[in-house]
Amino acid sequence: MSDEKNNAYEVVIGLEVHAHLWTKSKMFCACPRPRRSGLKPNTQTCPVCLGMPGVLPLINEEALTAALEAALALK
Amino acid sequence: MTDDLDRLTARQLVENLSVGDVSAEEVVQHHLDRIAERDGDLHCYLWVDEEGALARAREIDARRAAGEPVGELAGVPIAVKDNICTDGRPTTCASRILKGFHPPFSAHVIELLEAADAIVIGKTNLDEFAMGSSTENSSAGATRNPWATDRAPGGSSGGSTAAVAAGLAPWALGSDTGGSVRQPASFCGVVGLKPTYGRVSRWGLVAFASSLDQIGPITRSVADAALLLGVIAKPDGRDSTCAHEHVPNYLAELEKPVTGLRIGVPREYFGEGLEPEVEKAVRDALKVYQRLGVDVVDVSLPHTDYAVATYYIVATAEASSNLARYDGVQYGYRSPKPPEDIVDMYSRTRAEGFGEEVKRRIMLGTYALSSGYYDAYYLKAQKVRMLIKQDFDRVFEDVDAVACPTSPTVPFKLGERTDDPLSMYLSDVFTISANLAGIPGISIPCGLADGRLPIGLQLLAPPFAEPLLLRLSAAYESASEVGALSLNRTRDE
Repeated sequence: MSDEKNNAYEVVIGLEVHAHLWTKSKMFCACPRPRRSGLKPNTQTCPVCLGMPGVLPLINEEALTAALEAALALK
Repeated sequence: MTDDLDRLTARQLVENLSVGDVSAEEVVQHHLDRIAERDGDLHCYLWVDEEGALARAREIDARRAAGEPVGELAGVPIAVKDNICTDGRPTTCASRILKGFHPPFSAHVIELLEAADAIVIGKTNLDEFAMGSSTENSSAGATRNPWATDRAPGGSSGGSTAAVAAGLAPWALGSDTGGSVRQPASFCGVVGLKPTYGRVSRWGLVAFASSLDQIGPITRSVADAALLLGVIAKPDGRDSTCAHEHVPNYLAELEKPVTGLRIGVPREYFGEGLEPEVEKAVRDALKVYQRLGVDVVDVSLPHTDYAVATYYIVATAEASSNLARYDGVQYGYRSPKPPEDIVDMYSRTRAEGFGEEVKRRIMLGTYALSSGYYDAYYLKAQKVRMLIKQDFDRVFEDVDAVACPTSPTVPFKLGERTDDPLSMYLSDVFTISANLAGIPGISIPCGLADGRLPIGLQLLAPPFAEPLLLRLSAAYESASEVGALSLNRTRDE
């Protein structure tokens, strides 16, 4: 790689941060967030998190607040 | 009198049921008989709940006989467009991909209607996923217009409007994304109301274009539309776009006078493509308003020409996203052919499960949203959408409502436009702007071309001005000779 070529570019790096939030319910519905592995399949679900026709997601307020706090802290 | 049960308005049925002139079982049975007699030809229904509806009716009759409380609409049947979820009952959107799907929950509007003891008599035909203007894009085949069975009932709520016009239900629910309640109401000579975006909860309405969809009443009288809206308009925390706005007593608003109100007539809606008989019927309706002491003035909505193009970018973009969930994994249709891998299973399922028009719109929407084209199409369309909304904001500073034709044409023949998507899209040219602007609109019957093809008058008003819209509609209905057109609907002869 030659340096002259690379000088034409400025490197900008963005970080996409993922975290498993300790909320009471899931991101888009009122189902409990699964707390441990080994739970029976389809016991922590509802039409919203199954993405059934006709459902609408509702954003988890606790998650939104946590995300905003994290964003402000990392700014 | 039971012979007339399918000619009554829902309000009259409520009255007759409450004084005991007729039982809920008789009302339901009468409509089931009408359906058995006529629906083989018309094909309004995708599913009729004979057993369930009769059982509900008997249960309501028993409660009434025992002197127990019954709901506001006790014993009145209602037909429901098949893109509105009904708990444990089929909800297919007239799509092969949802064949056999029974949702485990009901839409908010169904919860409210059933709490009021209305009886869902069946699910009605539509263009697949509400995408179309003629009810011909249905995987189960087209619905016929009861006024002229070689013609389309309009769409996409054509099954509901045809059922109400032919007396196969006293009233019905439809959904309106670009005119899908109002245009078929116009074609079938009935009343169709699209409420303000957010007035009625979309919980349980299978999404087509989420920023445009709204559930609305389809009825044989303006008072029935007021009654039905009063039941289904209720704040719902499960739809974050559902308004918390106060719900007025719509029926009481109908009594108020219209003298001194101002109606604007947008000149852009009276140009090329408007059939002369439609224009004449609408101009005659405006004269009726003038006789009632309403000021009728010329106005301009300059961005009207861009509405159809804007709509077909916004609506298809949202549809491509909303329809991504149908992959054959958790519910609905799955291709029976042994797949090579998971992607093959998805693509076969979608290729076989969706109809032509749905595929066309998914492709248009995916293209409009794709990287590199997003700014040129979707973003630009959102900007034009704002300009269209501002056109209305400006006009409503001067007038109370806008009046125009609902559709540029009378009902067209079945098959006439199915090979030409563009001509089909243009049949929504007068209804699309209300969805883009989020404002309420209503179509009321205002005449018959050739003595048999219904024509609709459309009224539009500012957000949450449904009381005014209904009041103006009721005034026309009682003053004009054709106001009760939907009650004098075509019979079997």
